[in-house]
Amino acid sequence: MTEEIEKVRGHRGITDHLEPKRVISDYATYLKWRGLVKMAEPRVTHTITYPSAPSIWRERNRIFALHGVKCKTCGTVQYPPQRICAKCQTKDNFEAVRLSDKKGRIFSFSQDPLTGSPEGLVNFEDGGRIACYLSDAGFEELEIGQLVEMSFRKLELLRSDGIPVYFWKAIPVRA
Amino acid sequence: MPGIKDKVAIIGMGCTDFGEHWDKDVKDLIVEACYEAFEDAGIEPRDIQAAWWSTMQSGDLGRSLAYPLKLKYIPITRVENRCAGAHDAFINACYAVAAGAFDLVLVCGAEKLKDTGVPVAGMDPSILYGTRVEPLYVPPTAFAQLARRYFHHYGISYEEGKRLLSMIAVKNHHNGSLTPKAQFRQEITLEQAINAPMVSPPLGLLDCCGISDGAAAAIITRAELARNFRDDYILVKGAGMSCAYYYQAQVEDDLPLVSLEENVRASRMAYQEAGIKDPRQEIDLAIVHDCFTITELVIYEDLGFSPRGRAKEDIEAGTFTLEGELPVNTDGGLKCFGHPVGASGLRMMYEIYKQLQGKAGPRQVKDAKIGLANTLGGTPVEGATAAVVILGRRD
Repeated sequence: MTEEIEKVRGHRGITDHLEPKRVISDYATYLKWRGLVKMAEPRVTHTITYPSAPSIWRERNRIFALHGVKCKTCGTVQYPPQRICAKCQTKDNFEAVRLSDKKGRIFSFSQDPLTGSPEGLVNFEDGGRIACYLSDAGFEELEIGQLVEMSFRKLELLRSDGIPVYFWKAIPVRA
Repeated sequence: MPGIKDKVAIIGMGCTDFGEHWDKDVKDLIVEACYEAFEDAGIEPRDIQAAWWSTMQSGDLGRSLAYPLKLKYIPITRVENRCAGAHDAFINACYAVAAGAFDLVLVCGAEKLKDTGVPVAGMDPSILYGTRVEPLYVPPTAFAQLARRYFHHYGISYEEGKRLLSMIAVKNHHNGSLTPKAQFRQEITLEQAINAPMVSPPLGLLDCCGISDGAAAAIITRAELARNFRDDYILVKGAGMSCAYYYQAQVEDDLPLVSLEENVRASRMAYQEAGIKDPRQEIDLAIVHDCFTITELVIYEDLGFSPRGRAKEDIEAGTFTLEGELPVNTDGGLKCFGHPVGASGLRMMYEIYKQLQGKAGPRQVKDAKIGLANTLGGTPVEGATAAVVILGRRD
């Protein structure tokens, strides 16, 4: 171990990740989430394609590192990364901004009737907004203005052909 | 003079019943709607020189409109702009007619949504790009976020918001009960609407429009040729369209999500072309895009009927009921007439067409001269296409 260990002191460990666990009230949901039992899935239209590995690879920065961009001309933070600035129309003059470690507040939210998942719009503390799933909270606990942080998750909402889809979800900030 | 005001006339229209047509496929619906229009115009199918064809998923190339009708080798533009498709098709057909490219044009919209177990229209999650990381947004989920944000922004409690939305549902059900071709024809009470099963809170079952099969059609020509076909032809007064970009409400973190700017701009464009300065006074009836009750509420403000943030007052005053100052959705709207996606814009115009001709029976708006139709394809979060068409009686 070197002195670099000092840089990661205080980071959340296993205990802290287990602490906000919520007990699921029915066994069937648990079995389904664990993939131990297959349940009927929502039938989807042809517009839902299988995930594309080249697409995921091209967008790996905005998916895995949750990079947005900041326009160097006008300073506007935008997600996902753009080539033409939404505010000042400048082309290709951005710097990357890491959003995964930013906190945010729920701007609006709702519940998807197909999957039961809450989803919403989150405004990041230093600019930028994301449309994403909200997790680790019962729907009734959510409210506009609630403080959230981003958590890296595996999305398994639809059939997959073996290409896993990972992305960030917003979760209430743990006390 | 730029624009197409008074240059294009509708000389015939048709519209099927909307609903669950297990015994009909999209070809049957196309034949029914188009032949009603041909008969109304007094023309034969072979007189049609060009067609514009609107469907979300019930057809592919122009060939899928030509097939049931046996249109042979005419130009057919196939339009897809979700729920705004029929207006997009109609507006562009008007431009072609106004330019003198064709004398007699068919516009048809049709949709067959009930055949498969795949949730569609109201429940269709579409994903545009291959990464598949975006959350699945079915329309109720997106419009529920608009509702929640609108209530928050204007200090309306959840209960009060639900009551306002339910009043819109009750109004539209009443109007639907007077409309023979509508999918849902039962009256409902405020309590039924407030307590209906939840779809995506705060939107319940009675806040969401019907999912339907149906088709509608219009025959158009240049205004100066219209009197050869009928005396009570209806003129196109103005048209507007406006598109947000994909996920604009995400990319721009300051969009307030209490209105649909697409609707504001499309209506302004149409009002300008039609020469309308005060829509609330000058429009006699409006058939608007009530895919959800919250959409109709916000549309009151976006189209300039109610002052910004004050739709509540007009809802409570009954301004938009059949007896009110500006009847909205006199035929039950998407809620009750139904919403076969590619056809809806034409069905809206069908109601206005009949109203302006004095043929709306128990729904008749007294002395209706100017009517407005509005469609919105897409959602407030992911971006939408808005369209507005204004029709008027001649003279």
